[in-house]
Amino acid sequence: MAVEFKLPDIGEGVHEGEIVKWLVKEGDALKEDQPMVEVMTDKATVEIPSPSAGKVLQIYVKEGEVVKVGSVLVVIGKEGEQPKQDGRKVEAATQPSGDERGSKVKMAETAAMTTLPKGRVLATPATRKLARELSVDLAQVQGTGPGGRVTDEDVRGFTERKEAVPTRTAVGSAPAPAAERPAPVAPLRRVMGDELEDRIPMRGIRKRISDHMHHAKTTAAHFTYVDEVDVTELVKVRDELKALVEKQGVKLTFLPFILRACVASLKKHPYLNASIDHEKGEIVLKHYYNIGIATATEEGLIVPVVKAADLLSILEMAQEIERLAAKARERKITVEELQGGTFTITSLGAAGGLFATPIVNSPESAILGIHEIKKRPVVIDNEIKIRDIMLIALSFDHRLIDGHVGAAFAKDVKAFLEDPKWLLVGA
Amino acid sequence: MSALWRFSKAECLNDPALNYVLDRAIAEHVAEGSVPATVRFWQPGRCLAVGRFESRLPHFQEAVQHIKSQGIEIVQRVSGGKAVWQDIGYLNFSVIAPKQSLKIGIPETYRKFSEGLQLGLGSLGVKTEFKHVQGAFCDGPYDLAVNGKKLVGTAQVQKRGFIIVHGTILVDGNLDEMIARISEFYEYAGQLTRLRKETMTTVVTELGWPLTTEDLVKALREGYQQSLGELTEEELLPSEWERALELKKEVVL
Repeated sequence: MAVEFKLPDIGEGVHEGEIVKWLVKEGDALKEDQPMVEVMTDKATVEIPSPSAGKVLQIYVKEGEVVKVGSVLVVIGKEGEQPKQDGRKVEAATQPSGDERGSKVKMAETAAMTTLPKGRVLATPATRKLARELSVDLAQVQGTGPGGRVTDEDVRGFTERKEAVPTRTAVGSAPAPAAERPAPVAPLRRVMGDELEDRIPMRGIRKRISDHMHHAKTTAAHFTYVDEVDVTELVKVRDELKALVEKQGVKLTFLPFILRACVASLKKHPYLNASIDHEKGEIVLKHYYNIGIATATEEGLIVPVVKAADLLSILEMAQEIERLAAKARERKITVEELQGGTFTITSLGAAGGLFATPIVNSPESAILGIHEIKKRPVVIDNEIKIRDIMLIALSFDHRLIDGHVGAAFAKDVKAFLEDPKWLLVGA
Repeated sequence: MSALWRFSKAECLNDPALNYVLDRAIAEHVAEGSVPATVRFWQPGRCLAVGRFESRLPHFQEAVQHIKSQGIEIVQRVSGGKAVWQDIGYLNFSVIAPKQSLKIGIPETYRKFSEGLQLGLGSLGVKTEFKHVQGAFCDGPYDLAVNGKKLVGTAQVQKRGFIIVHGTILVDGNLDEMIARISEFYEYAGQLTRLRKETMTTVVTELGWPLTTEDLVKALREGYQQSLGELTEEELLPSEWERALELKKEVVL
């Protein structure tokens, strides 16, 4: 008789653990008390031994997965026994026979290494807690776990069924009184699918973004200023240059022009190219211009930095942006290439929309969001003209930049982009 | 197995890896019953000690090479959790006990084996509580904190036959250097980690007067005697040292 071994109760307040390493594999013979699997929780590493001698029939959880207390980790059987085909699903959906029920209660108790008082509904502490939270009386829930044990899914299914009843009543005809005919839980679960949630570990770039954004949002005093920029002239200039530059193998986007406009405006408004040194209680104004370009990758957003942007020509900036973007896509970007930024540009152009409110890339003090260029009707000299319009959204840290200072910077960026010949002069 | 607890004093061997694997070597002896449960205070010497599963970081090897290139030893602990900096001004404690029941009880074990530490620090006038301090080194739910600032980082390991609860106490260590070293490691490893100095404190800062490591160890030993019973000072067995020397190869990065 195969035994399902579940992640045992780890201690109050601990509900899940990450399976870090299997010390046995399917088909291995097991001795009693032999270490089977290593589990890591918040700050503790635990090696879990086998409850009995036998053979590892099936391992349910892969290394790296995070599982809740009570989840089945492995099925242990006698030597020579084969794992039941799709045993887990069959068991969840069908009611155990009376005979089986008895042996399964015993089995579940051994497996989870907990004893439950007789005459009570079988459920783990975590499930009981969930039931309390959802105001569900466990005695009314039909358990689908081994030995009729009530699982988290049963409790959730029970509340969903309760919620679903009125709808059915309204649509269907001649409803039976709920008390007389408690609908089975399992069919509904099948409709909903076994997994109502996916859990993705917060790792790598995602974890970094999460920490970084949380820090930025909880420290900087965000202020966002939005303006529209008439880029009709810039579109012409760029279209003319595009073909010429492409002969040199470089793709010319609007970004290098926007970078140039930002650098020229940053020189006039140094507080936008600054950070705060908390320890010394000082504002650090930077006389170097390293412009980060927020770049989407499959793993998440990263910000490669165009270093010393004030020393690069439009063409050189275009080359550098292309080089960094390619490295980012191929995941070959180095830590150095992501560091040292003093100001960031984020483009949501491809996503459309009107404008967004960007989050400052700490410890920097400002970020410029640029958006899709669209043809729009504009009133010029009392006439309606069709012009290329781009919205820009500048977020900055009001702790060191007042509203009018940020606005003045944005107006300068706008002026450079509306009359691109000034980009040649730089002021 | 003797019901008594064994006490082992700070070993200043200046061999970080050997110091770290001694916990494991002692634990194996405790598990087989050849030595009693042990309370140990130790200073491993200047090094960066990373958690057991940190090797999963995206650029772990690069980070290790970077730290080593600066002449700093880097070791991997038997316990999980994040990187810890070690130098003078940091004191480690380990409580190593046999695992007699199958019950896991992580929070209960933390509480039981940190009580002596809390009593000892309390006798000096430093009141600690369990708190998860975000922004401090190697943060976790069983940090010991004073007024919300982290003073002790802890980790726990349970394997067949033994339990280890160990941790690092900030005595009067240089926090700036600790923050710089740990941040550098995670930066190279590809995981942004921002430590904030204001989330941490030291025993000396809390007391307001200098205290030697010897005096601190004395107070902590008293605390553990109150909590666990008599602690008998004993040398480690030669076989414990031998096992540690064997294990050392596995943890030096």
